[in-house]
Amino acid sequence: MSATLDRVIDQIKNVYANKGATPPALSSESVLGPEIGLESLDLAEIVVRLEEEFGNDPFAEGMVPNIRTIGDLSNLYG
Amino acid sequence: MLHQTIERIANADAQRLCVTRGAETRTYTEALARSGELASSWPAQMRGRVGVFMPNGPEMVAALAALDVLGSQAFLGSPFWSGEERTSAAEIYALDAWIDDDDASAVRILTETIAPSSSGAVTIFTSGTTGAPKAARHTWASLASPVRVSTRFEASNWLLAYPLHLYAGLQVFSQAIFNGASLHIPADAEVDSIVNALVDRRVQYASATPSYWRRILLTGDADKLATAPLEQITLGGEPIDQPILDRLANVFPSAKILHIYASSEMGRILAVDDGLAGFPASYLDANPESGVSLRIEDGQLLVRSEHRMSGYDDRCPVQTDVSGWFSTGDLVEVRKGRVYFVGRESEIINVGGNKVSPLEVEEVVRSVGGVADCRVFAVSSSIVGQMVGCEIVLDEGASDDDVRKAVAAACAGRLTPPQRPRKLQVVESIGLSIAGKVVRS
Repeated sequence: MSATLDRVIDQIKNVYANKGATPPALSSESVLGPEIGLESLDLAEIVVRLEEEFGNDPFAEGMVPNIRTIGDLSNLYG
Repeated sequence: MLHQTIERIANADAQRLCVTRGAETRTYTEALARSGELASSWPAQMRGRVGVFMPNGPEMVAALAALDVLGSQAFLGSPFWSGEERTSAAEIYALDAWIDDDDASAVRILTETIAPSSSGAVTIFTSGTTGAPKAARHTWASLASPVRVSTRFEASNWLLAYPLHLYAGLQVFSQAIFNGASLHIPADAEVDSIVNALVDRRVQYASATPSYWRRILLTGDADKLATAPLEQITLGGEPIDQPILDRLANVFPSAKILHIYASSEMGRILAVDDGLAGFPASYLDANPESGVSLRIEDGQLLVRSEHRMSGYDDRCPVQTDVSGWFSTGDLVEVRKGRVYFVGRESEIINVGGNKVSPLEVEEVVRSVGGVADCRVFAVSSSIVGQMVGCEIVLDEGASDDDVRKAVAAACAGRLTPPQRPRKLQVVESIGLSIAGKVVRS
């Protein structure tokens, strides 16, 4: 796993912790959404946390490709 | 009216203390003498429209009395305004002169001649708005109208924690001076100085924002605080939650605890002394504060008040008719026969279209063990516009990790997903504005 992916997954785990939930097994192929217990606001929270972690917010900078998996998300920061 | 009152008290009791700040003291006799000195030495411009940008202190009290005897129109602004802000206010409101710092004899003259003044006024710049500050025009008579005059207040000791240029400060000032009491100003804004003023000056009546009280209880010397002879504690300026009322009742068991709701425009609106947050819904039919009526429209509290200002100054860019129902901008909810403040309309956080009141979130976070204080604010989000952020101050000895987990669990259990803080930071202290209120922007 890349260092960026590790950091992204760590931040996603923090989102679970913040709602008092235990994260499932997460990998680059995990589909972001209800399948892994994430609501739409959780995704917004992930983006806020990743901005703190990486210092930039690709979503604020305009066009982003379709993001389905954790791997897709990680690529935006890597 | 102010000058006459000071003169009357000085004549009745030459040694009565009028105002102190730290170790400085001034009796009513000395305040009268200083105000006479200022009134007779000031240039003619001081009879016109005068900016007062002074810090709380004996000199400001003397200056206000001198302006009153001259029939000037005083415009009270913050001593922390920059030169640019003062100049801007001076231009908008056509000030003839201003005084600042702690020396009212150093006058900054702005005009060559002055327009004749019709009558004296005390105009307050309202805080917290964007753009040019609005100027709410009062007189000493309108400021004194909610004052309770009683012999029990005579020669009593009052804490002045609010800046004197704001309505809350003028209210404490009026309540003290028009009763011939003594006002005590802490030497500086440090908690130790506030505790010293409370204890060393034997303060019986103290009024401040809940945030200010939280700060005192959190970091003040508890043993010393317990010796403060407080008879009445008043909270105002921000919505009051139950935990702060309970904590104050616990620390000061013999003090009466009162909370007041007031505004620069409408004056004193209501007071509650039953130890509970919010106010009884029966106030909507019959408010015990005489001359003030209340109603709720679209979740907002509307007020009609006899204590109101006479109007915004004629030069104020915003003009509102205040003789009828006035929109306070404060949002309320009625639950089980009680009306609760849920925040300022302007402070609501919009999380993807869901309106979140910072106060409702703070109430949950503050109830968690290990949390001494907290502040909720908007965090900008590229996905949903805004999300909820929260800063917390830990109780002494509390573990950062444990408290974070407990806050997360409490919020997950008691708040909806849009209400839950998505960014949680542990900080040393919560920043307060000059008015002693939490800053959310």
